Amino acid sequence: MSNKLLKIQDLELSFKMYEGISYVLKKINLELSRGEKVALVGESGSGKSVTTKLILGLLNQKNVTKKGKIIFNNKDILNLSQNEFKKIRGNNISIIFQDPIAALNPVFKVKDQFYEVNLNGGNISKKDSFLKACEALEKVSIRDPERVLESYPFQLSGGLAQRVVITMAMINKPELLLADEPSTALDVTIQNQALDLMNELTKETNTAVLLITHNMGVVRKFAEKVYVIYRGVIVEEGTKNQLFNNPGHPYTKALLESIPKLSGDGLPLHNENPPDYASIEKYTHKND
Amino acid sequence: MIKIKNISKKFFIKNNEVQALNKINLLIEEKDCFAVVGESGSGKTTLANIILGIYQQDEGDISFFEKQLFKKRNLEERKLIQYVQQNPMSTLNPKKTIFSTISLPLKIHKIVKKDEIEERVKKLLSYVGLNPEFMVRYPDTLSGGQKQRVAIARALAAEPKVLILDEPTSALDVIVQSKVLNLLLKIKKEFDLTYIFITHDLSVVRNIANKVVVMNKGEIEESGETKEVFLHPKSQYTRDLIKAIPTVTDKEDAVKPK
Repeated sequence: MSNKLLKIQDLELSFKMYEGISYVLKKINLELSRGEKVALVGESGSGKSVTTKLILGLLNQKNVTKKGKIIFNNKDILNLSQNEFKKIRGNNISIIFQDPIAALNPVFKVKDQFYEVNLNGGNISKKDSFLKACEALEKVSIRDPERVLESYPFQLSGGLAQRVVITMAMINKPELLLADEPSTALDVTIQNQALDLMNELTKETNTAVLLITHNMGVVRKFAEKVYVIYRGVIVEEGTKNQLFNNPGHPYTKALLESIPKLSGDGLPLHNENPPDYASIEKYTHKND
Repeated sequence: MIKIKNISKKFFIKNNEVQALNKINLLIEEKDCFAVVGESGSGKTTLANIILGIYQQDEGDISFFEKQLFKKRNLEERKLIQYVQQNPMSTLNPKKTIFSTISLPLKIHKIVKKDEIEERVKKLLSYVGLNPEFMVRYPDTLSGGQKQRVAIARALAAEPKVLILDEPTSALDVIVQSKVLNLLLKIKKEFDLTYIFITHDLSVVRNIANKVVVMNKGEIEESGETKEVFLHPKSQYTRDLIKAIPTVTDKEDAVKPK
């Protein structure tokens, strides 16, 4: 028995496609303790989002082959049935998607969508659900929660909608929150607010967070531990300080260098023919 | 080069009135890389659309090389100011090959003779770092970064003097972003272009623009030389904006305003 909340062991994933088999994840290993904030960083197409989909059991198509283990609360959830997953989703594990407006259903009012989420936590009347949602929204410093609850999602601004989505994800006090690019669609000031809010809410309930992003600045602000993923392989893992101060893998170095710096050192020149980073051995920082 | 005087623009949505731009004054000089930054909804794209002649301003004048520009423009005026849009996925027509996408401005503006079009398209593609064989492909077979390069090649085809870049790298991840930005700098030098660079990414602005204007709710908060604005921001709004940028090194934290 271990005290880890989530443990991913040798996870492999491949899609059978018209052109042949595409190997998306190759032996991924990842660990999360309770209350820990971990970031999974990589570029588009590196396999970040499919990892969250696997954790939530959302990949069940016929052309998907998956191997390995995802151990959540000492139980392998990789091959659970959809009915069993329904109990976990929203209660134990919840998710925040990239685009807050697209994450909400445009034809239902926000209060009805809260009701659905609240039902997950047990039987509740519509009136109680409304009050509960009101209270939760007030806590995230939304001044007029009644108006927000009576609105349709497209009547909200991006920042407001993201706060609603974060509140919705946290209302049943999950043990694990998956945040898939939660701030990419927002501009810098609102991005900061969203991150602060996530930080605050998860601290209160001791919720662990798996943050998926390609923005290293966000990682530095939010996460404690970082995994770098490249083409389905984890190339480096370490604490935030180890990774930013002393990156070990050439891909991580390239990733950090390619970010335009505020200090105005000019743009980094780019290696047009980069090496095959995925074949270079994984770099693990030692803890001392 | 481009002089913008007292431009205002209002939109009417149902019964609400939105003041998108309020008395904007700008002077863009030749060979500038002029950055326009601000939050979503601050009026950046509206400004671009007015410079391009897509919208008509309610008040004010734009002049281009001392000549006044109106919404209705002749071919020559349209040719000189070109546009690269934000989302590379939706900017290219999915039913057209890369060749017909890039050759269209060549035909409209009669840049080259008919039998030289193919040669020129190949040349443009190699300028932006794409294999000329991509010509026969359709947009959905390209990656995001490649599509953005095609959009840049299409804008260059008309041989413009000014490129308006509306968030050209926001939809791309950092490694691809740095490649596209390097490409843009190279092209600017080679063709003596003027850039109007619209973005909300201030770290990008710091590294490529020489002048910057900060917009907030349709008004100009602050403008000036990039270095000066970043090191000694005058308005509180600019200070907050710079402070909010997520950084990756301690050196960057040191230059943020206190």
